[in-house]
Amino acid sequence: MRVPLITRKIPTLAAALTFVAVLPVLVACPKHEDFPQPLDVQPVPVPQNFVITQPDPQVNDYDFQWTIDDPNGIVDRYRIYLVGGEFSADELLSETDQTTLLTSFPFSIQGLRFAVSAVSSENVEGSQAQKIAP
Amino acid sequence: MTRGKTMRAAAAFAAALFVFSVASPALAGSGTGSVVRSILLPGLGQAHDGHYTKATIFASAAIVSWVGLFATQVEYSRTTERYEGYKNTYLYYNDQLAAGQVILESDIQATYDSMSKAYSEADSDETWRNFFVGALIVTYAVNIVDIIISQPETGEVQKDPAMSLEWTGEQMRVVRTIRF
Repeated sequence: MRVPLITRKIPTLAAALTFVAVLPVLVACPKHEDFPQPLDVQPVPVPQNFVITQPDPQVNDYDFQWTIDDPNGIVDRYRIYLVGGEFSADELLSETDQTTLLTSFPFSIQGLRFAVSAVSSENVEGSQAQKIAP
Repeated sequence: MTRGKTMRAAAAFAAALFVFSVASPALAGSGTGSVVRSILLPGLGQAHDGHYTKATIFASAAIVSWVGLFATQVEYSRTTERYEGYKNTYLYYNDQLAAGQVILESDIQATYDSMSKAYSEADSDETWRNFFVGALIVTYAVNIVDIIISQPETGEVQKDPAMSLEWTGEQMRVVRTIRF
């Protein structure tokens, strides 16, 4: 039986296609494995009752205060931020190991938003509590 | 290393297929020609032997399997790459924490969630990829068995025998039919 020309050419074409298809499949064959263990870090409590007061309206000194519910004693220190500072990023103003911070500004901070967060001894920083300065 | 060896072996196999395909016209008409064609692409050998229906079925199954395998492998690779990225970031947190760098708890949690999601997606993609690998193997295996056990279609029509035996009572007659 005479084989048509197209049938005789198909093997070459098919193999070429197979060849072209196989290589990318083989090259891109990483595997997903070794799901890592969760990091051994404890949840960090969020500061509560965050308030900003100005003891003397004539002076730009402000008192930041907050409370913390930390029965396990994992909080090591606190970070106070100006929210939406330079380049719209949170700007770290200060760190303290107390639940109060008295600080001076060269200008009035009225209407600016501030935040406080707790940092554990493992260096994990928890969620922020935010407040707008009066 | 093992993956590299597998890839090299598979690439060599693919290259061998390619060389076979170039040489296959020289095998046309021989018994091995159909088998070689069927190894190259299921259905080609059947088409060569004149079994066009079977050829269509095998070729369609092979093409669908190849396309499915290729598509799912690409998707699986992408998902795995994404997962590895999240995993590296997550594991790097350990080093950063050990070095005294402060890491946001929300970042750790978000990375863990993304990593878990990417792992689940990679699991699903791998299952589909393996399904198409299985389909391809079955298609090739059935195709090879078929091409080995089936006879080529010669196009000849089986005719009634021109001579027959007839029983009439206790006598037997040899009848030869001649058509004009």
